[in-house]
Amino acid sequence: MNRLLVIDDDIELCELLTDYLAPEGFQVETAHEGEQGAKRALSGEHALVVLDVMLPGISGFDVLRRIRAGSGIPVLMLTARGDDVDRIVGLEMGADDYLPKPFNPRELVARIRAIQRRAESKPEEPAGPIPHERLVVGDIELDTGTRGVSRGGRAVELTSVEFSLLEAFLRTAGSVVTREELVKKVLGRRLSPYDRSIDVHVSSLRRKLGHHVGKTERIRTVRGIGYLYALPPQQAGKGTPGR
Amino acid sequence: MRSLFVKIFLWFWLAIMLSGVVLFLLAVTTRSGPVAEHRHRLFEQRRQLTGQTLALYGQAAAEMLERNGPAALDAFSARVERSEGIRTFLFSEHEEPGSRRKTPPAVRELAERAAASGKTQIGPRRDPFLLAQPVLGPEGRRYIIVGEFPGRPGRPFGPIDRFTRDLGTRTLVTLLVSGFVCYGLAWHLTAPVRKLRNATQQLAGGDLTARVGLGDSGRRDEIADLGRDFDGMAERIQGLLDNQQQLLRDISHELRSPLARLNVALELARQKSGPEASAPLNRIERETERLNELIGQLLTITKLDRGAGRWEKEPVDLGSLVQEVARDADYEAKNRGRAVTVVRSEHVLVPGSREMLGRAIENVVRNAAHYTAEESAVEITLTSRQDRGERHAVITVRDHGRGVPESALPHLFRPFYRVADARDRETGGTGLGLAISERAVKLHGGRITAANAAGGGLEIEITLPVRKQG
Repeated sequence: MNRLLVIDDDIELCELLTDYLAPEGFQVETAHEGEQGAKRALSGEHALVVLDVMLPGISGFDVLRRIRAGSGIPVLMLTARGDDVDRIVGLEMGADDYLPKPFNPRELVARIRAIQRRAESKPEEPAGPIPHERLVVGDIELDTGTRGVSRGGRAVELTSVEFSLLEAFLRTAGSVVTREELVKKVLGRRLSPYDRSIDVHVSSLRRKLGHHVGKTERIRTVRGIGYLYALPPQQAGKGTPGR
Repeated sequence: MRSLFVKIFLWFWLAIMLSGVVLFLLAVTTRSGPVAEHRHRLFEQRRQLTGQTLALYGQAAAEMLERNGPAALDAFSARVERSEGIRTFLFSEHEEPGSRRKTPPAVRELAERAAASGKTQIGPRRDPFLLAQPVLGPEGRRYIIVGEFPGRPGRPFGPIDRFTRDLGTRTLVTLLVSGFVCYGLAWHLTAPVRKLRNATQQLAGGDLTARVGLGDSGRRDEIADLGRDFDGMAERIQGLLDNQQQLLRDISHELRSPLARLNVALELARQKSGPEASAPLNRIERETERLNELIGQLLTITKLDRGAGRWEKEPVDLGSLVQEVARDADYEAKNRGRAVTVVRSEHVLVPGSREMLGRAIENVVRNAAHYTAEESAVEITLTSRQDRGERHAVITVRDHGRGVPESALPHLFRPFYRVADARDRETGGTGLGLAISERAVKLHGGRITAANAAGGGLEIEITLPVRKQG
């Protein structure tokens, strides 16, 4: 199912994108207006939504809010370049990634593929026998098969980016991961200066999982380097997290 | 005496005090003035009273003379002189009957004048003071009594005394009242001027919303008019600048849509054309990127000029930021046989926007990396120093290029400014980098300056205020 939904009021751009993406193996449906776009996005017929923030009528953020209220479908936002606030607000509202407009279409394809790679292991898409792995660190339990996360036995709703981020953290719990590494592993691209999106995802993860485990900070910022996921003391000796 | 307020206050006060002193002096000195009139009135009263007293003495003396003879008169005169200090002389028909005393010539002369005129006569001198008064004896004989009074009449109640009494208190009260009034007057006159000055300073400092705000005060004078005119002017300037920035913003935004389409169309062309077209297509792509970069920087600059509206200050670790920027710039410079190194660094936290500060430093470093000579390195230092009681972080970026003519140094941070001779025109870049740096640094309350370094090359210094964290 490689159907994309592009929500953008620039009709000509949509036509060009449809032409460009077809040979790349994407089938593009376009919506030029927010209301209709949000409705189509919730139809469940698409694999990914490309959403322009600047829309006439209801804004891209409102569209994103409506989509997130009813679906976890991956959303790639197109933002005005240099407007970090838009970018951060979008990511905080649950967008999977963003691309400043005007963008290079090759970059767009790369981002779409990166998002899809993350979502590939979703249960409804059985791509061969994926080993069901269960990562347990402290109070967090993560199942790579069902893509379920629970904290202290209670399920936690995470977006696909947050899930991948948490997975990366749990696999390296107790040691520092650089931001470059995280961006590469989770967002599938090179870290560029001023790209704070990984930090935004980390802070939403903190918000959803709680800032502390017992008395220690769950995800500690190592200034100038990256992040450190706290390993609970009883697991500290074992090296790799238990299965 | 720099302040208009002090000037107005002191001058008005001085004027009031001076006119007070002049009025006082006029009152005391002139003949027709109130002091002289008062003195004259007192003198008249005194003379009348003295005349009546003298007439009573005269009648008593005449009766004494006619009943008891000259010896009794002498005894009476002696008693009066002893008890009251007044010497009396009684004349009858040009002589002094019964008196063995020597009569002073002035007394005799006055008595003769009184006898001739039949009216009260006053002696020319004031001390002793002579008065001659015609009286009638019990038998109807005419006498003249002359009294010699000691001292000037009216002296004990001198009008000057009345003015000089409590002079200290009076002066103090006058000073206080006039000082108060003058203070009020000066304040009333200068308050709008001060307001005007504040507004002018704010406007000059870039706050285009600054207004004097005298419109609702109901004041109707030239200063208030000036204030209103200033507000009108500020309104117009703000409108013009807003329009200009809005236009710039709109143009930049509108240019982006065709650029976005151009990008996609370009890639479509790539898909459909053979490898022989890739060189010109790459060229098109590069130019599109340049155009996009320029638009992005134009937007950044309009945003910075507006004061960047909504942005939050966070503590920014300048040390790591400088390292990050240097690493990226070094990576790019390596391809061109140049290097970027951090010579000295410290851990300094500056409140601000990491992105804006990063761009400010990055633009300066890129500029330096561009102009530094081949095989040379751009040197970056980050230090902190105490300056006028405030701690500052100082970043210097020094290249080893040809430097910039002194006359061009002040213009380096102007948008699209190019040094005509020394720096070649085929430089690439948008011409906005340093202008963005300058605005971003200013927005953080800092300064950016450029100077030619001692050993050649340009050195740009960024100073940022460090406020205590937490």
